[in-house]
Amino acid sequence: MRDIKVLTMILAGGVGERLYPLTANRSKPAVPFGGNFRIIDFTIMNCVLSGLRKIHVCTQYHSLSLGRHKNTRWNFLSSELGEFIELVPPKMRTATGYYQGTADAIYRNLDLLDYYRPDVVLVLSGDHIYRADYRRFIDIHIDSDADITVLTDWIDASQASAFGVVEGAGGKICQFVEKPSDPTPYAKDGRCQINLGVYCFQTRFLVQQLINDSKKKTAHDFGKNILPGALDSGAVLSCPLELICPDEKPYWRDVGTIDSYYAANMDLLRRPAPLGLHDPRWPEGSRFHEWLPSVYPGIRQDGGLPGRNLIASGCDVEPSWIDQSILSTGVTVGEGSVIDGCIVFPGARIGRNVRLERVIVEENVEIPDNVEISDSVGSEHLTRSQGGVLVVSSGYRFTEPASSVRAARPEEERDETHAGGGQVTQVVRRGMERHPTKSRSPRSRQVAG
Amino acid sequence: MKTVLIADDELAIRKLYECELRDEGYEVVTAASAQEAIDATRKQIVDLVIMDIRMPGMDGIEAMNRILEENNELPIVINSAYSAYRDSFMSWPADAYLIKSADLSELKDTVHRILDGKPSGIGVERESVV
Repeated sequence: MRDIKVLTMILAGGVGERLYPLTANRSKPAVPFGGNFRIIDFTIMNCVLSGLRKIHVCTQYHSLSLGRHKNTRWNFLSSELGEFIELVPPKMRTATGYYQGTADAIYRNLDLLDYYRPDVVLVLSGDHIYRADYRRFIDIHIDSDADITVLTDWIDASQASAFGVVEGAGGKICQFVEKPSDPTPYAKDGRCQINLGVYCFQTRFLVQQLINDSKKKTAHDFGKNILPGALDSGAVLSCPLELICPDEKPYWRDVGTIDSYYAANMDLLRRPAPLGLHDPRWPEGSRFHEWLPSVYPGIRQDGGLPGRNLIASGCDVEPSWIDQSILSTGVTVGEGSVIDGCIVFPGARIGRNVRLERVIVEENVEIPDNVEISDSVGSEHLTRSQGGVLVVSSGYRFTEPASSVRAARPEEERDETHAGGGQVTQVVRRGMERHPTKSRSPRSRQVAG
Repeated sequence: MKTVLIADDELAIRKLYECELRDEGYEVVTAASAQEAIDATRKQIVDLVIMDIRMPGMDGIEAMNRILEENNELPIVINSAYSAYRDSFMSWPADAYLIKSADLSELKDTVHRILDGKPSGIGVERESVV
């Protein structure tokens, strides 16, 4: 590893509109992931384990939860050793308002570059799930004498229209095409090379490009403006993820939509998981291992082949059927509930005899007893993704009139009750009032952690 | 006629530059501080700004960045007695960085170079100082 002065800038200010309502009260990088992580943890972990410990995180949108998470999770860096993770909101020193684009976020922090005078600037997105050794990335950048090095990966051409597609030969990039409607002209053997939003810049070249871009009416975006604009004036090279990936097989996911976010979480439950939460770079005996949620075998009520569950610390689970689900820190699950393919955020409380299928339950949401939510039942007023994943957001009230909570099935009995000052229609499933162990044997009470 | 704004806290400099640039055929307005310079660019059409750095209150680099925030196509020439700011990234958005000199030929050449062929009040394609 060379003695190269690196300044790391993580872009974490994205609104994350397509992840709404998970981003209603938090920025996209602060969205919980994998039971005991936030999305940004993967990028910060890559930095810290690559020896990059001077980290600026450009924030703007709902950064409170991101700041809290940084303060609690990443509080072990040593200021005495010059290590830090600092949140950088828009300064409003000259410009007012939010960062206009990813490039604007760096341009408006030129004073940081001026202060630290790094040899290279590493620009990272804070909202991707992957593992990479950034030091190797920087070494490749220096060795190739590039002005910009772009981390890339190859994906099936049919999926490439959602990404920035890179075209080039021999590692030299000659064209950027942002989210092409038809990526097939750029495919080789059915695969396209895509831009992963990880850039290493020669500092002076970056500053020059940012200033040139600032004087034009553009989106001030790296992928759309800076990189295509730099092709004529500098050496813009690509570095495949597989060259700097510490795992045997590279894994990278943009969790930009509810469905992709859900799928990436479900990937953690596969056996073997394409990206396990255990990072092979963690030092033996380090506290990183304590961050891992526990893995439990699933239990299915329908007798199907069970998968796995991730259960974080502090969960309190009564006898219930839980399968292919992720329970974050401090979740409680009442007796007789069925949770199938769900992601439950920290502090959520799930009552007794609740039935949830492919549902994301937001932080601290309380789901009353006997509620059923699945794609076919009880989803009328919930956010539903294209792929059929439902989100119970923080603001959702279960004390609304019956029709907004759930619809009864013909075989169910309707029981009108009043609860919490509002009318709730509870549906009692035949058989569910029995103790679940009488019909099948869920695991006994679990307290994980 | 193109208008040049001279921002400098020294009256003698303002007067000298004003006379020289009027002789070159430019309209000249002056500002004795960074804030006055910002206000001047808001009040009237200016085609080029000659900006001192060290002035009382706000410095010229911050004033330049504020002006560019409102009009990112306005050419700005930094004209300072100090060379120390030349390599600061904060001064790089300027179109030129000149060291103050009794010989004004470089300043006049720079103004001519930037304003030649530029439609009044509209930006020009500029080279970065870097």
